[in-house]
Order: sequence, then C-alpha cells, then structure tokens
Amino acid sequence: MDEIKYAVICVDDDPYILQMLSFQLEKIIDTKCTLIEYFTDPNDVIENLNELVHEDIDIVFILVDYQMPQMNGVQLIRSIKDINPKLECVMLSGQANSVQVAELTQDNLLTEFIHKPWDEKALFEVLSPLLKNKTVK
Amino acid sequence: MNNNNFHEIVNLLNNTTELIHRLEDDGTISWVNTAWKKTLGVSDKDCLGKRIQDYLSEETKLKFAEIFKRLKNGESIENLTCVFLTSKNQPIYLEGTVTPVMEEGIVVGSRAFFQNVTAQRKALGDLRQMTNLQDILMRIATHYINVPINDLNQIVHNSLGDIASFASADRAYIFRYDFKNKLCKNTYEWCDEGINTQIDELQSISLSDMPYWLSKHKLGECVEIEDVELLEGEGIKSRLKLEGIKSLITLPLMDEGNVLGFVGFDLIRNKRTFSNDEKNVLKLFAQMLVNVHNRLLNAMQIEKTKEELEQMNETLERKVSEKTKRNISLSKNIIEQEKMVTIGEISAGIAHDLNTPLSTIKVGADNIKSIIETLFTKQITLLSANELKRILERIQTSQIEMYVGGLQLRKEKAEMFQYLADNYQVESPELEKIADLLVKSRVNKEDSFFIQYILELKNRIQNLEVLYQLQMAYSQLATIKNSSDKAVKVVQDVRAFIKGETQQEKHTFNLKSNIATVLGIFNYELKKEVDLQFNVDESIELYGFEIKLFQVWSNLVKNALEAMEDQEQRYLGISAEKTNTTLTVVFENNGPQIPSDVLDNMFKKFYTTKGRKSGSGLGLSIVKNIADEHNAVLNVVSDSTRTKFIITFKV
Repeated sequence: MDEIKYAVICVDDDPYILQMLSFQLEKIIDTKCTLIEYFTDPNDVIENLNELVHEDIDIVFILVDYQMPQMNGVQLIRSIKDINPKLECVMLSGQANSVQVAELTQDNLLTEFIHKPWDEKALFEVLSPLLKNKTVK
Repeated sequence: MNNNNFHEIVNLLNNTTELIHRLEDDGTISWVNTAWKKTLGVSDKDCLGKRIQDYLSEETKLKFAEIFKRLKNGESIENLTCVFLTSKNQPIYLEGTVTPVMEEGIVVGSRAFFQNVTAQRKALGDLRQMTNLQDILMRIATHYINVPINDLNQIVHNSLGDIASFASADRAYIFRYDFKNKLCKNTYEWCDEGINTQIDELQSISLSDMPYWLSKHKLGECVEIEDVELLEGEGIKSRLKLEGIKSLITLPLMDEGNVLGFVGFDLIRNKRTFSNDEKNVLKLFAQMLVNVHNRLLNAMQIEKTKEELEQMNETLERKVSEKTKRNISLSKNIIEQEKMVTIGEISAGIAHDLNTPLSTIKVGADNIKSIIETLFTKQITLLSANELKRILERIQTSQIEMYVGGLQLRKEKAEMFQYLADNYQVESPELEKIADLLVKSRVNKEDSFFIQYILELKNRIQNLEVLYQLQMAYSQLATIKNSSDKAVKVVQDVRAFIKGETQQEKHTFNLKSNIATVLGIFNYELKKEVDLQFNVDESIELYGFEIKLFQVWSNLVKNALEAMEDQEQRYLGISAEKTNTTLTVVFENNGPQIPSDVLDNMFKKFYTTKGRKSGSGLGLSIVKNIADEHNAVLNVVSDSTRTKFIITFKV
C-alpha cells in the first residue's frame, strides 16, 4: 500500500455538500497518497488535525463552510491557525459579505474563498495551485 | 204707658242696629224700625201695609210659610236664618228671633228681631271660595309639577274646567298671541255641559280687532266685562252678544314682562263680577299656566337637545366606528407589513437556506453529467446486459453515504485487501485495485455473496468501475432529491408564513409543525450557535388562527435571538404542555434580564428598546394582539438567567 503523505480536510455541517465534494475532489486528488477527510461537526476537526500532524502528514488545505450550527467557519479557521499558522484555509460559503470573513481575509488567515453554489471548474482552479507538486491525479 | 214713654221706646227701637218688624197675622207689615228700612232701602210709605213676602228671597218665602204656621200655634222661632231682598234685589242675610204677638190668648201677629249678618256671611263665603280656589290651585300646581310632559295638555284642559266650575264660569279658554303674524289663537277650551264650543272658530283672530284687550294684557292687567250690555263700541259687543256671553274676565299670561296670551272665563247663563281676591287667584292660575308653558318649552328644548345629542352621538359613534374600522384595517396592514419586515430581516438566512440545497443540486447535476460521460465513453460498453442489471439491482437496494474519510477508507481498504487475499486467488496489483473499488463502492466483507459474484466475472475490474460510478451517480441523485426537498421546504415555510389574510380562519392544526414552520424560516439564524431545544409533543393540536400564530412564534424567536445577540452561549427552549383545560407554550431564552419598566411596556405598540437598530416596536404588541384573539394569556418571567414567554391557551 502506498504511503500516505498528504491530507485534505472538508468541513461542512451539510452531508450533501460533503457528498458532492467527495466526488469532485477525488477527480483531482491522488487518493493513493492523500487522505480526504470529511467532518460535519467542526468540533471534531481540531482533534483529528492534531492526529494527522502528529503522524507527519502534510495537510494540503482545509475547506471550511462558513455557517455551521456549532461553530462558524471563521472561528474554526482562527483556532486552526492558532495551532497551524501555515495551513492553507479555503472557505466555501454562500455567505459572501460577512464582516467576520472580511476580517479573516484582512488578517491574512484565508487563502481562498469559494462561493456556493460552486462550479467544478472554479473549484478546481482554486484548489489546483494548492495541490500542485503534492498530490495531483 | 204714657205717650212720653211710648216715644222713648220707639226712639230706642229706631236707634238699634237690629232689624225689627211687626206683622199682622196675615203677614202685612204694620211697623218696621229705622234699621229695617235703611237696610232694605225702603220708607214707611213703601212698606207699611205691604206683605212681608215682597221682601223675602224665594227660599225664605217658603221658610216663612212654615214659620207662620208655627207662630199661629203660639210658638217662638229662635236662631232663624233668612234672606231678605232690598229694593234693589240685593240679598240681606238675617239672623234672629220671631215671636208671636198674643192678645187675650189669641195670636194677632208677630214681631221679629234680626241681626244683619250679610257682611259676615259674605266674608265667610269669600273665605270659603278663596280656600277652595287655593285648594284647586294647589291641586293643579301639584299636577303640573308631577305630571309627565306628555300628559300636560290634558292637565291644562282639566284645570281649566276646575277653575271655571269654581268661578261659576260656563266656558274657560286660553289664547296665544302670535305677534309675528298679528293674530291670536284659541289653544285650549273647556265648556260646561250645554255650552257650545267655539275653539274651532277662534283659530286666527286679528289682533287689530282687539286693541283694548291687547293693550291691557300687555300691561299685565286683566280685562273684566261685568255686563256685556253695558259695553261701548259695537264691534266686540256684538260679537260677545252673538256668543251669548253676559260677563267675562280675561287675564294675561305674563312671562318676564312679556305677554304670551291670556286665559279667560265666560259667563253665559248668569252674569257675575269677580272680587279682587278671586282675581288674584285667577292671576295665580294664569301664572301657573305660564309656568306650565315654560315647562313645556323646557321639556321640548330638552327633548330637542336630547335628540340633537343622540344624533351627535350617533354621528360620533359612526365616525368612531369608521375610524376604528380604518384603524383595524390599518393595523391589519401593519401586522402584514411586520411579517414582511421579519422576512426581510431574515432574508439573508432564507437565501442561505435556499442556496445550500441549490448548491448541492447544481454540483450534483454537474457530477452526474461527468459520471454519465465517463460511463459511456469508457466501461459501460464492455458490460453485458445481465451484468448491468445485476449492478443496478445492487445499487437500488443499498442506501449508502459515499463520502468516507480518507483514514477510514484506508483502514477498510486494508481489511478488504486482507480478506480478498485470504479467500481468493488474485494477483496482487489487481487485488489492490479490486479492494479499492469495493470499499469505494461501499461493499464490505459481509457482502461475500456479491464479492464472490464480482470476482468470478471475467471483466471484474470494469464491473467494479461501473458499480462505483453508478453508485456515485445514485447517491448524487439521492442528494439532489434531498436537497430539492430542503429547498421546497424553505419555500413552503416562507410561503406559509407570509400567506395572506385569505386563509385566516380558525381551525385545528398541529402545534409542533406550526412552530416548526417558523423555525424553518429562522433555520439560518438558529444555526448560529444557538442551542435549540424544541420539545413539543407531536400529538398536541391547537384550535386557532394557524397563520397568525406563525407571527407569534416568529416574533418570539426573533426577540429571543436579538436578546441573546451578545451572549456567548445562546439557548432557546421551546416547549408545550397540555392539560385538560389549558395548553401552555413556553419560549425560553438565556438573554439578559428584562428591566421591570420594560416589562411594563413591552407589549405596547411602537415600544422598542432597540432604537434605530431594528424593529418597528410592533413585534410583541402583535404577539399580545394575536394571543388576545385566541383568548390566550401572555406572561413574561425574566430573571438574570432566563427569560420566559408563556402563552396559555384555553382548550
């Protein structure tokens, strides 16, 4: 079995979104060397993130929804960045004009922002540069 | 007795005030004293030798017939009362004694000694008359005061009769002066039996026909005609004579110096005069009539004012009800608007709630498109109809989540690889591929029968590829279906919420789904870190205005969310409890305690603590209104940890 070097993390409280993402991400990510992890509860993310980091797995990016019942995407990204300042964070949201998101961008904590509903092509355009030289199918 | 003595005695008798006469036994007057002659207005020459009957009233004549019989029997009559007539036919009331004159045992005549009591009699009679008049006036006055206004006309008529009878008048009447039209008019009339009524002919008498009367009346003086025969001037005389009137008296009806008309009394059978006292009483009666008249006027004025007031009242009521109607329709509009404001305020959330399922649908459609393209350009052509059928059966019977975390997937792959290695003779690179596809297609070790089937196929890799792709397509379709349902639900909730007045009828509906619709609308806001505890039993039904209650819940949710805005932890609890008689719905939040002055005012219209930030100040007043419409009691309990809105419906 191939060695796992990379991981990609998707967080959205809506399982259907994860369903759609999983299909699309597998098109551009080499799953032989990359784990794609899905979370509907942002609270589970930090713990698993630590585990991955601990296993020396390179987390290519984390794709986070903005509006979630337990914790919003901005808060999640801020707490992730506290631990992993270098982690590329991408936000996937229908909420385009949130003050919090703007502040996040200002603080240079957000790598990319993808609007819901998204285009496969647009999604790939945003994510491909991040995957480049790491895990490309 | 000597002559001197005789003269002395005669002189004595002539100087007394008593009336003394001496009659023969047949009643011939043989001697009378000076007082007798003076009182009756006669001389010796007139009366001596005449019969006493010539000087008696009719009544006393009859009495004297009896008296003569008794005198003949030698009897004396004491305390006799009788009436003599003067030469001018005036009655003289006498009281006294009559004694027989005896000569040798035989009655030869009589003598009488009388006191003239005419003055006393008259005074007494006048007194009685006055007393009676006053009695009548008192009675009339009492009647006037107590009688209902509608009966006054009858009372006036009756009192005319009373007064007229007493004054021995044959007709009594009231005339009203109409100075504007220079007329006077007979308004009331009372006629004694056998007396002709005249009121119909006296409806418009020109004032120019009666200048004297009018001038007297204007001065407040009465007009008295003691004897029509003695009147000067033919005009009125001939008229009164024509009516058969012998005497009359009319008294002005004065009101604060103005003459309104007059009351009059006609004497038709006998003429008579009225004493000053009688005139005073009649004047009193006239004044009373004026008072009655004023009372009538007042009553009419009051009645008119009352009617005007009633009319004003009616107009006012109508205006108020029109205004109220307008206000009601206005407030209906406001309520409707408030609903739209709510929708506006949460529209971003609603957009999000629509956007999320739409995202999935869009992405899902893209995905399915690419799956189909992949299938048709690649593997699907390599499979037989039977193989495809088998794959389809498998997909249709399994409900699977297709997104599985990489770590989990990896673990499962390792297990599957081991399983396959243990049970099947397959070369390693292919085995790994098979394990990967099986796990990705969510086939696990327990599906050994299916695994067996796949592995026995010649083009098993292609079959697994198609299975995976189709499995993907199916789960995308399921997701699209679910997302569509979600989007439809959002639209349904919004539509239900903003549904117009048309379906505003009371009916029985499910409480939980009613509240759930509102929670659906607020889904986005509630997802913002709100610990929502929605504990309403599905069996609870409520009879009421379904659409209106949406607004109650939505305002309570909105209120709670706004109250908790600055809260680190947000809690919204919704619960309901039903007893035999009540249904209590509680919306509870952990917002800050509501100050007591706010508690006192929070249900008033346009009361808001939110300043310009948000809110029309109508939210809670609408909640209160709608609660009232349901006869429900609305209570708020607020302390430092919790604020509860409690609505209690009667079941």
